[in-house]
Amino acid sequence: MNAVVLIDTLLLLLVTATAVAIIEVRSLYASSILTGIYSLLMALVWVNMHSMDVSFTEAAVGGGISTILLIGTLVHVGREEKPIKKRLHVPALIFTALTGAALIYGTLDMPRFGDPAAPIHHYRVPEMMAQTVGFVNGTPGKQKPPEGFDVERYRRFDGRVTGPIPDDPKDTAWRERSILQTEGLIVPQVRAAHEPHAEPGHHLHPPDDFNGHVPNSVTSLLAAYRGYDTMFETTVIFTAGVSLILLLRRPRREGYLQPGAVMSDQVILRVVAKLSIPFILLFGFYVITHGELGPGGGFQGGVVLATAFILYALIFGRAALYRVVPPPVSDMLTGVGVLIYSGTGAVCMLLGGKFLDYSMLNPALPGDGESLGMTLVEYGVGITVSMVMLTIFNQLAEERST
Amino acid sequence: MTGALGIYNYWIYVLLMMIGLYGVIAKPNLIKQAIALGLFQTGIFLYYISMAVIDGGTAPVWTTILDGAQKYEGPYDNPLPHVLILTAIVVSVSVLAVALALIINIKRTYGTIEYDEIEAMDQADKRADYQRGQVVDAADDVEHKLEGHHHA
Amino acid sequence: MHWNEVVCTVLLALGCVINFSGSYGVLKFPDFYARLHAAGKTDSLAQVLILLGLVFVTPDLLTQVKLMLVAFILLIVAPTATFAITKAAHLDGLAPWTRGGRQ
Repeated sequence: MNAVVLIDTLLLLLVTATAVAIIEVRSLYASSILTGIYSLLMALVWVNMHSMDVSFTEAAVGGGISTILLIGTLVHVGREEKPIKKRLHVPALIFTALTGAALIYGTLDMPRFGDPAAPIHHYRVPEMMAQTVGFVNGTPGKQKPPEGFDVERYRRFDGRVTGPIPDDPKDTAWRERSILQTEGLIVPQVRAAHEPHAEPGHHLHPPDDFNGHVPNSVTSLLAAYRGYDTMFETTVIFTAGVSLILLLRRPRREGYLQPGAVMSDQVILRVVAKLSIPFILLFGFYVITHGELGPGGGFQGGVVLATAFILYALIFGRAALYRVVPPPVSDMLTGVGVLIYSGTGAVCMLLGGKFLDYSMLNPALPGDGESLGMTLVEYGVGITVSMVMLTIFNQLAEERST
Repeated sequence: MTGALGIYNYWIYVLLMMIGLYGVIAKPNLIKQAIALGLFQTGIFLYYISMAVIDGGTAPVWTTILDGAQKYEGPYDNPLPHVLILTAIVVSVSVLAVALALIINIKRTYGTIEYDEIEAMDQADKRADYQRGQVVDAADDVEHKLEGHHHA
Repeated sequence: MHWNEVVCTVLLALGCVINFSGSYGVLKFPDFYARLHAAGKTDSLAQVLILLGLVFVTPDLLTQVKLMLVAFILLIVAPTATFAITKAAHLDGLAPWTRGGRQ
């Protein structure tokens, strides 16, 4: 048994216990706090499974924002659940037990945890691991390098492609040879460098279109390979912000502000908040910009930025926050983020490529173009996410207590 | 690593999903239901991320590009599930926010957020409407008769 | 074992013991303020010890600096959070526990 499985086993036991407590505890306030604990435990589970970006998001979103939102709602709807006579709901228990049994029967066929032979680690993954956007030499579907561009130097810089690469992309003998060479490795990472696709269904996909020339593959998959998907996820978040405004915002004439408690007379809180808010903002921008080199990106950085504003509102009151970010400005910025994202795609089209084909941004060094495009897109995501989170917080806090 | 522990993660994912499902069905409180829905989602996240793990793997960040000296070609975890779940988490908080806004509106309209009480109020309203509807129908009937009388 | 691994092990073990005592205090103490006292005090010390222990086994200078920054920021922020929670409870009118139930 290795360390990952050991820690995983213990953490998941804690997670399950917390989940039972969240459902069964009577006080909604305790339930919300337990949700925060649950999210932090889950963040530890993700770290243990080497999923740093997910862990970062879970810690920022689950541990931070959703707990604030839940507690903000409890102010309006009351802290306690109505006492119910029967503690155990028997039909629900039978139904969930049957569904769970069926699902567990389904898991018996799953490959074991961490199995290197599992299909998920083989289907198109070697191509993804060895992808090399930015330089092409006879690879189908990719642009030719410009005149005077030193392909060999760029390839050495990449450092992951080993072995001779055939000029003819249809040289299937080379492919078999390289598979034979790397047989016995857990995952033949290098096997499929510049490998043309064997599957007939994927001829339209060039083997290099997985991601860009950036180290963090999660970011490059997010922004390039699944670029459309991420764009519409951002739109979903934008829609959530608009829904909150439509559901909860009061007419302008009643005013945005309701009197609320302000903690600014607490000297310690005021000093520490003023001290830490610039660093939180700086960290948010760092996370967004650094997303292509390490864990992080627009979603996480956006949430961190929103946290700085929310902290400001909690300490100095929402009147002060509205002087810094007036509601019209934050409403507009939610849309501006989506506009930056889709605008980057449109610019790529105007430069002669496909929608969101970032390599068009710098045709001389396509890898740098990919990097630039991803940074732009991450900033778009970050602006939308931070402003939507801020809008959600404002709308939930604005609601007059009933 | 062998035997039952090999699919332990998948059992926990089923367990978390079922705890969430039980909460959604059994708890009449709407806030509790929103939280339980979150638990259900987290179970699915666990399923995806568990699939991405590979023995002896590490986080899918290619360090070779940063530093050619530290060449690591060992196994990396599959980054694709990470990408899917990363966006799903942020969408789940959006879902939670919209749910909370709706709950606040329900509280404003009904004065309670317990599902069974809301249901009882709706039933009472419907009964009242029905009774009023009976009256209206009767009026129609009278009108119809009058009309018939007029024709006759 | 190299000397830095020894230092790291000692610091991590100390941090874990202090963390454990904090958790025990949270379960054992009679009221909100005493529990927060246990949690807040031991948490800030334990996290500093654990992060310093990790500094000794990290080969990379940049990561070492980052770990120390995290420890420093937590040293400022964690007590402030404890203070904010306690102050909020006090303003809300939660009375501290006394022997005999009188204030």
